[in-house]
Amino acid sequence: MTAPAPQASTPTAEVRASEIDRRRRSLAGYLFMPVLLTVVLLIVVWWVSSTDLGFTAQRRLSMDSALTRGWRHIQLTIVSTAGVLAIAVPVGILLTRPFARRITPSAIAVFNIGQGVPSIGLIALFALWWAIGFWPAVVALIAYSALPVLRNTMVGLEQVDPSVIESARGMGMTRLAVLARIELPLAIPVMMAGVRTALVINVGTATLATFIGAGGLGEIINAGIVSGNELITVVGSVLTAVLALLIDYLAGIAEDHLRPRGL
Amino acid sequence: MTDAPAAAADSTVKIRLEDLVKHFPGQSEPAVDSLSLDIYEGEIVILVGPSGCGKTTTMKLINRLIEPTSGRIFLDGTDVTHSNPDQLRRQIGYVIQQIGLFPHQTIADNIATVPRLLGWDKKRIAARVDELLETVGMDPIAYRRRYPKELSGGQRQRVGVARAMSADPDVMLMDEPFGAIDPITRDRLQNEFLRLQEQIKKTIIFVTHDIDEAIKMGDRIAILSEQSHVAQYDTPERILVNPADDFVADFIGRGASLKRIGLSRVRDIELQEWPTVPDSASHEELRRALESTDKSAVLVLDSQRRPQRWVNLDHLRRTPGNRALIEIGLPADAVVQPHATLSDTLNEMLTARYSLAIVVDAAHTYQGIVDIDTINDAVRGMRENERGRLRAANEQGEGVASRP
Repeated sequence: MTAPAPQASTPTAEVRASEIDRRRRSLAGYLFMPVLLTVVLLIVVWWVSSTDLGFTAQRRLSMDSALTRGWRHIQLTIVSTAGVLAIAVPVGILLTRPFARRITPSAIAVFNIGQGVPSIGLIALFALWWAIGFWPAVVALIAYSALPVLRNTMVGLEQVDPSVIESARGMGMTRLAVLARIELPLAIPVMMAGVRTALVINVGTATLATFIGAGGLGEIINAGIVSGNELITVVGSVLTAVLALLIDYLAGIAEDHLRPRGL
Repeated sequence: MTDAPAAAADSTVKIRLEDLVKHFPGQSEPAVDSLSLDIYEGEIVILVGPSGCGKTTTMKLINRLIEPTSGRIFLDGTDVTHSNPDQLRRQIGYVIQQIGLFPHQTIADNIATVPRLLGWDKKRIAARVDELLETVGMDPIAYRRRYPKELSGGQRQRVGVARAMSADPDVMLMDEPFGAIDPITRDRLQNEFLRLQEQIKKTIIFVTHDIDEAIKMGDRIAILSEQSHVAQYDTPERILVNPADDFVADFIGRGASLKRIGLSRVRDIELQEWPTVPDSASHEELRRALESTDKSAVLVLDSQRRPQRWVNLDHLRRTPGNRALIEIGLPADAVVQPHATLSDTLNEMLTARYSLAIVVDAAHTYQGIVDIDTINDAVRGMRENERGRLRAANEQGEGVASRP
């Protein structure tokens, strides 16, 4: 067989390789979001410190209390998202296997219930039915944000080119090997998009956890509303938004690095 | 016609399919109905037939990507109908039309798939990958680290073939491997593949819907009708000369005679003698050569006996006697070598607008002449030989088993 001249084809290959690299962000692209968020935080700090607050408000907006509540908020988000991954990814894998085709619609309907009920209602229901505190809030968040991860796991696995799977099976890879080495790596980009969605939903919805005593940044917002202090409400909301954007940003970086090369 | 053709009786059967049936659930008719076929070692066997005749299903039954409803599959005489399908597939190369390279793996990793499954060590795998890339005409250094999407369609196809050959399987299954490639590249890949097959001598089952590809690639062709019934299983030559029934004749199409002359070569037929003169000869010598023959023109050869010009009486009459022979008459076009097919030869004739072609050897030395009548006779001869062979076989058959 005649080999295409390597000298002639190498330059095009380099161009193509750099096209692949370009899909990972440039340094400026990586720095933009953290810089923006830092600036916003600095403005908030400057604004709070330059305003004459009453004694109660000052205590509520102390750095200490903001950090404690922020940390609790992060815990709620991370633990619930981990729970979502632990449940929705395996279920998504099972539902795309040929033997599960018939139960897929009903299974999705169950996950739809969680998303369908208004979030505040869901959290209240869990508190009434179980208890107040951290874990009921986590379970409510899981029920609320499992659907996007489930859907994206399924879509990600279903969009894998059937001919790729056929050739893998045809070469003698077992079903499990095809799943682990072919299907899941190829589904990662779509699955990660679902995880990002779940993270953002959880950051936002975790502000409601304050109503069942699970803490979080929702406490600051709520305190502002109850005391009629707009400043406190605005600060709580801005902190939540900054946290949401930060987590989404970190998930985006993870997504860039988990996406297999060559796609 | 599912019985083994007589000519192959002494070859080893590599794969035997015995009464294979595939009945998909929910369908009233089986997709493959009682198929029996012997596939001989080292041959390219083409499964060809109209869309939906079950040829792809048949192929997938062999590596059990589709499990047969009943019937048996033998590989090297061993019944593999119920053996571990994953182990079985690692011994059988598999190429499909979409190729199905793993987009997230490098070319080297793609090719290494089966060797890794078989637990080869890293050094052996790396050496094998480089060897295979060279076999399919790709530079290992330039290509092994690339990803499939950085390759052209033809290159991906080569990688697909390399991947199927990675663990050096005796048997390869190929489902329209050249189907999704432009006609020019396809032709080149087909030729490359045939050349490769001359070295590797694998047993290949090749599925296509294109009868021309089947004739070109196949040592033996199984023409399949609905439900994978074998309408005819024979060499391309015999199928073209003697279609078993109307279905086969229809499927081969009206171009059967044309296809047939694409199969026989100039070296297989008898060349005609023709009067020649050296280019140093005088007009008088040429006139004498013309008078001593019934041909209307003489071929002028140079000192190395290479064809130069065609000269006839008319040319002599119209030119002064002192012009060299090399400057008069008509150019000696339509030149072919012995390995040319009769169809190439005919094409040369038509292009040059002559009714004959000059045959030369590799050094361009004159060997003889083929004319249109010779080609016609050759085709007729093939047909008659085949009829005679069949008649003899039938008479024998009637004598022994009194079959109708």
